[in-house]
Formats: sequence, C-alpha cells, structure tokens
Amino acid sequence: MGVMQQFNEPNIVTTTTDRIFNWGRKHSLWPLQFGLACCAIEMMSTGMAHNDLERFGSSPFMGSPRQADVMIVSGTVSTKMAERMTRLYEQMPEPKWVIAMGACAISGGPFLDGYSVLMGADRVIPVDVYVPGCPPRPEALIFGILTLQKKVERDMQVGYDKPRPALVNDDGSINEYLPEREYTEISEGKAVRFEGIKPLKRTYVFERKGMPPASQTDVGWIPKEVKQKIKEQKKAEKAAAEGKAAEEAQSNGGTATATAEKDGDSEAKSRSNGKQGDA
Amino acid sequence: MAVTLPEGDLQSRLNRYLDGFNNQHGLDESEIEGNVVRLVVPPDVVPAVLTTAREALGILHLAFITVVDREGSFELTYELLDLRGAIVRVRTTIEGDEPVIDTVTNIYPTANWHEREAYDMFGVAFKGHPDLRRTYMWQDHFDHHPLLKSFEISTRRTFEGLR
Amino acid sequence: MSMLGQDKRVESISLSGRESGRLAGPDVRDEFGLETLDMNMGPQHPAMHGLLRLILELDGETVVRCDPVMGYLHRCQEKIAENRMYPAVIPMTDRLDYFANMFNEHGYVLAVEDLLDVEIPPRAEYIRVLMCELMRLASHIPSLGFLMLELGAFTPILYAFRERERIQSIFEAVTGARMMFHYIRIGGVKADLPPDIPQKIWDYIEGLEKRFQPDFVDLISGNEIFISRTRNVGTMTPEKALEMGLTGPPLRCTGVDFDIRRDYPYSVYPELEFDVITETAGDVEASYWVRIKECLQSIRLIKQCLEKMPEGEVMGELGRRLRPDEGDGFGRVESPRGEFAVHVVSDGSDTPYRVHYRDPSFCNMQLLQEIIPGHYLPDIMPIMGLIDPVSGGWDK
Repeated sequence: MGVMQQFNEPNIVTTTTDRIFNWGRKHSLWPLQFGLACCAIEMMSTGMAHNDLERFGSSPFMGSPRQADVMIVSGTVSTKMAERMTRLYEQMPEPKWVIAMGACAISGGPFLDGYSVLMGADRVIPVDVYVPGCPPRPEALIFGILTLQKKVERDMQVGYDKPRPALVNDDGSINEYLPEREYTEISEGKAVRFEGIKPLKRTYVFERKGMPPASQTDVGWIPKEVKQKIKEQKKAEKAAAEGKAAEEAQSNGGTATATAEKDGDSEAKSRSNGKQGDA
Repeated sequence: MAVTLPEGDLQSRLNRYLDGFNNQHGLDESEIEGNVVRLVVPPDVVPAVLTTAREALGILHLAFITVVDREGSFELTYELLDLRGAIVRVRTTIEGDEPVIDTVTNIYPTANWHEREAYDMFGVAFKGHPDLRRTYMWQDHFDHHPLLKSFEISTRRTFEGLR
Repeated sequence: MSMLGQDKRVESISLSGRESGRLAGPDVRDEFGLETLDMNMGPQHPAMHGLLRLILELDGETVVRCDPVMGYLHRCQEKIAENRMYPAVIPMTDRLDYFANMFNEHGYVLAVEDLLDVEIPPRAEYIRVLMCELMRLASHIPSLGFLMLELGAFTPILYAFRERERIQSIFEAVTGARMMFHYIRIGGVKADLPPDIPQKIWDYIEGLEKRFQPDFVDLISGNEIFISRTRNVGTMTPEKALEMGLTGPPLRCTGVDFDIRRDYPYSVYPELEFDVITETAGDVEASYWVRIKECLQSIRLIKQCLEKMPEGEVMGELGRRLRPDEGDGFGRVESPRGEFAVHVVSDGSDTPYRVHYRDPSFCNMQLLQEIIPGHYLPDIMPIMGLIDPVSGGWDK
C-alpha cells in the first residue's frame, strides 16, 4: 500500500479504501492450525459441518504460518512450546491477529500454578481477542471470530491509529524478534509470595430456590418421582427400625433409652441429609 | 508365533506365583490380598524378582512404575499384570536423597519410558538404562526434578492474588 | 463378521519396494558417499495428533531412526493434584485424555473408592457404564476420521464429527457440558438422568446402527487408496506388542485378547455381555477393523444398560470432607486407547499425597521408536492412526 502512505491524515480516499480492504480481510481470515490441547477439539468441531466456520470465510486451516492471517491459540501454552509459538507468530506475515481461545490461553486456566505452564499466551505474543471458556463452545468461538471481524473493520491505514506491527518500534526501527517478557519464577521451583493480599469473600447470588450443592459429593438433581420413592423407602425403614427397637425395649427394658436416643440421632441426621438433597 | 496367556483358576495361579517368588529369593514380605500378590523387597533384589516373574512365571505385562517421595526415602512400586486377572505388586524403598537402582529395561522393555519419566520427575537414576534423559522438561537447562516435595508450587498464594 | 463386508476385500496394489524394504546398506552408502538426512517433524504440524516432535533420520524416503520428543504440553497434572482436595482433582483428570473424558474420571474415582469404604448404588454404576460406552463411541468414530484425514480424505471426518456432535448433545442434556463433564463423582454420579433421556439415547443408537454400515464401513474399507496405504504397514507380532507394553486396540489387533473389562472387571461389566475383538494381521488396517467392531460392541452394551438399569439413588453415603485412610488406591479402566490406571497415595489428610496416572497414550508411544524405522516417511501417519494417541495423555 505505498499509495496510502502519501496521506498523513484520514480523508475520503483512505476511508473508502480502508472499507474495501477491511471488508476483504475480515471475511477471509484464514486461521493457522495451532491446536494445542482440548480447545483444539472444539476448534475442530467449529470447522466441521454442524457449526460451520466456512460460512464466515475462515474455513481453510492453514498448515503453514506463511499463509495464515489469524493464529487461534487454543489450549495450554507450556513454556517449552512458548518459544515455538513466538517463532510461528514472527513467521506470520502482516496483517496478523491472535485469538486466545480458552482459559489456558488467556491466563493459564486450571493449570495456573503449574511449573511449566505459561500464565496466558499474552505474556509472549500480543493478543487481540480473548474467548473465555473451558473449552468455549463452538458458538463462543464463532462469536470471538465475529468480534475479531469488528476489530478488523476498525483498522485504519493512516493516521495515529494506524496499525503498527509488533516488530516495529516507535522510532521506526525494526526488531528481528519480539521483546522478551518475564516468565514467573514458578518454573524454577521458587513460589511467588504475594504479601498483604487478603482473600475475597464469596459474593455470588442465586436466583433459584435453595443453595447449590455445597460439597462435591452432594447429588445435584434427582427426578421428583425417584426422590419421593426414596423418601418413602427411608420412612418405611425408620418405622421398621423403630418398631423393632420398641419390641426390644419391651423385652430388654434397660437398654430402651439407649436405642431410643440412637434412633433420635439418626432421625435428625437423615432430616438434615434430606434437606441437602432437596436443594 | 502366538503368545500363550496363563490359564486356570485365579486362586491357584496366585498361589503358584507366591510360591514361585518365595522359593527364589529372600523377600521382606509377601502375601496375597484379593487378586494381588504383594511383595516388599530390598532394592537390589528387584531385577531378580522381575526376571523370575517374566521367565519362570510367565507374567508378561508391566503396567507402571510409580515413585513416591517420602521425604528422606523413595518408594517405588512396580505393577505387573498377568493378563488374566492376577496382579503382582512389587514395592521397594530406597533410602537417602540420591536414589540409584538397577534398570529393568532388559527384562521388560516397556519400562524404558517409565524409568525416563521417573528420572525426569524425581531424579531416580537407573543404572544400565540405554537412554536416560528427560521426557517432559526441557533437556538443557532445567536442573530441578519437579515432583519432589522440595520443589514447591504456590497454589494458595497464586489464587489469593488473583481471585 | 461377514455382515460388515470384511470378506469382500479388494486386492491391494502391490507396491514394489515396500516389501523388499529398499534400505541402502552401509556398504552402498560408503561407496557412493551417501548420507542420511536429519529431519524434524516439529511440534506444530498439520497432520500430527497433538504436539509431538519426531527427530527423523532419513535415507532417501525411508526412515532409519525415529526419536520422539515430548513435553510440549506438560501441564503438571500430578503436582497440581497434590494441592487439591480429592473431589477437586476430578476436573483435572478430565483434561488428561481430553478426547474420552469419562474414562479418566472413572479411573481416578475407582482409585479413590479403593481407599474409602463406600457402597455405590447400582443405578450409579449402570449410569457410569452407559456414559463410558457412549464416550467410547464418541472417541472411536472420530479416530477413524482422523486416520482418513491424514491419508488425505476429508469426508469421513465430517461424518464422524456429526456423530460426535449428536453424542455431545446427549452428554449436554445429562451432564450439562459438551466436553469437560465432571460428572462421575466419588461415590456415584453427580445427578440422575433426565426422564426423557433414555428414550432419546435409544432412538439415537438405533439410528446409528442403521447408519453405521453405509456411513463408516462401506465408505472407507473398500477404498483402494486406504487399503494400499494401510495394509502391511506397521505390522507387529504379538510378542513385540507385549514387550512394548501396548494395551487396547493396538494390542488386540495383533491377536492377544486382553480387555480389562473382561479380565480385571470393574463396575457392572460382569453382568453385561460383550465380545472382545481381536484381529490377527497386526497392521493399521487390522486396528481399523478392531475399532469398527468395538463400536458395534459398545452399541450392544449401551442397549443392555438401558434395559437393565435399576431405579434408586445415584450417590452413596459420604461425608463432606473426604479423608481416606493412609494407603494406596488403584483404579484401572479400559479406555479407547488402552489401559488407563491411577495410583493414589493418601496420607490421611484431605489432599492426596501423590497421584500417578498411567496413560495409554504415553505407553503406546514407545511403538514409534521400534516400528517406524524401515517404513517410508508417509507411513508415519497411518502408524500414528494405529496408536491413536492424544497429546493430553502422553504429556499429562
């Protein structure tokens, strides 16, 4: 676009050509096939027949970085792979964008405290769109690509907003490699101590009746009929146990109070269990 | 060229394995628990025990080698499956901070990568291993063995800072 | 089973040189001053089943030495699991073999239940087996699609992912998630099946049975290119396979019938009827047939589960904080890739002391070092299709 560089400020010519170029670019964003982990499966699902990515122009998943526009970082970036990822990013020609797909690419995800996990792809390469989820649904990834399309639409070739490649500094000099950023020290086995940070209180609000299961071993949901059947079964068992205890009390006499106490305790426990099951 | 898998009743096979081990070596402990023959042996006897298992008793499959770091000693567990319902579990304890043990790659070739992983994660050196190098960590300048208890990762502090 | 049309095989085109193994010996190399070429099939590769680096030494197009380098997705699962409570490790196990998640959860939960002393209600066991067999279908069918994708065919993977989408929508109705389910909990399963789901699963399975022959078997197995690229490629003998520690379809395609569901039974498999599928050829085409027939066995198992499922609770009686006794727990399941075993060491507190996962993908990858030398460079891809590894598995 040598013609465009003659203009220093946006005017009618540049905005029209911007619209044409951006329209062409945003409807044919060709992703680099950079599936790392589980999010890659959802990325593949997005490209398949049910959630079709081809209707947005992003169908060919290029194998080579030299032919790709978008790098969809899908999956956990380990420190061993981060070096290769930056190399691939540097090999992509301009204009290029990066979508960080999934919690692992955004910030390390569930493996945040791992010693060989990079806490987010944006520690080493510049990211344009973040798609949260673990893994994000194919519809979410399509929404991410549409968001990227809106961002591409805003590109201006001239003016102070003009896009600058990451390898070009402010004064115009060109780097060969991206600037090195810091890794954390977790990969050396030294745990980082955050001084003076207090844990936040849980502040979520539930709109439905009852609280969510408080422990991992509480049952989430049972059909109503089954719940009633189980309650009736328990009541029948308790009645049978009490009947037997009453018989034994009559025959034994001395141990009656002990068994009655035990029955009372188990009743209270089963009532509290029932409350948890109801929620 | 077919492979012969063991046949017969499970309990008689377990007894036969236990007798085979008891006859050949001096073990610390050996008993049958369910369908498992549990052996506890000192570390220098391990290759001999596994040779008996493979050659004399016909146990063909090494499932995994686990290393547990009890601070001050390392506990290795070898799990062998005869492919018809019986399990043989061999346990050794290596004292000290620099664990060295003989390799079993010449007996069960599948132990090759299991021992490499044990070396990578714990620093357990296997004498006689054909190709002992790291599996997961980058080979050049990572001097630590991650799964030791002295290598700490900060779960609670990381989440405190970010929540 | 001749109903699958396996007998009507097309005679393969014989490629001269494949069987004779045209490797230039050392004397020829010295005489002509030939050298081998060191090539790197890097971690990011369009045709790779994940992040694996293969350092290849090539003589012409024949591979002389193959050295896999792993670790590009190492996620410290075993170390992180020592800092989480027992139920909170289950979502971490979901991410191990992320193509067939239920098996990882099931293996870990069996190991922890080995330490505890809890009675699992029978309905929960049947639901677990039902979900696992649906997951096996959802894993085997796309793996055939991936095999064909690497050979250059794009249609089978579209058919395969259509099936996987439908199974994932069933999982979404039952568990709430498409991929990382976190459904099998310690002591049972998380929630019961919704009332209309068994009928939906039944309808889907009957439709799949009708579609299976034309959509998957006839589409692929008679294809000349498929046969010439997969027959006699990666041939193994049963001894070699057992030496290398293979389990699962790569072992069963050589003729050794070892299936953990039958030989080391767990859950309700003793009450269900199924066959263990073996083939004798030991090459990639045999593993394809093993996977196809295992899909049909899974369909059979799903039907039996739906018929035999009892009523009742879905979660056993457990306390809030799980503090198992000190000791070791072992769990072992038959995942679509092989034997998945978990060893949990507990020290009496509410986090595990050590969790060790034995992944089938990690152990089956030793095949690459032994089998690939002698084959051509394009044969590496069908051999990866034989093992069918998942990179979350071999890298943990």
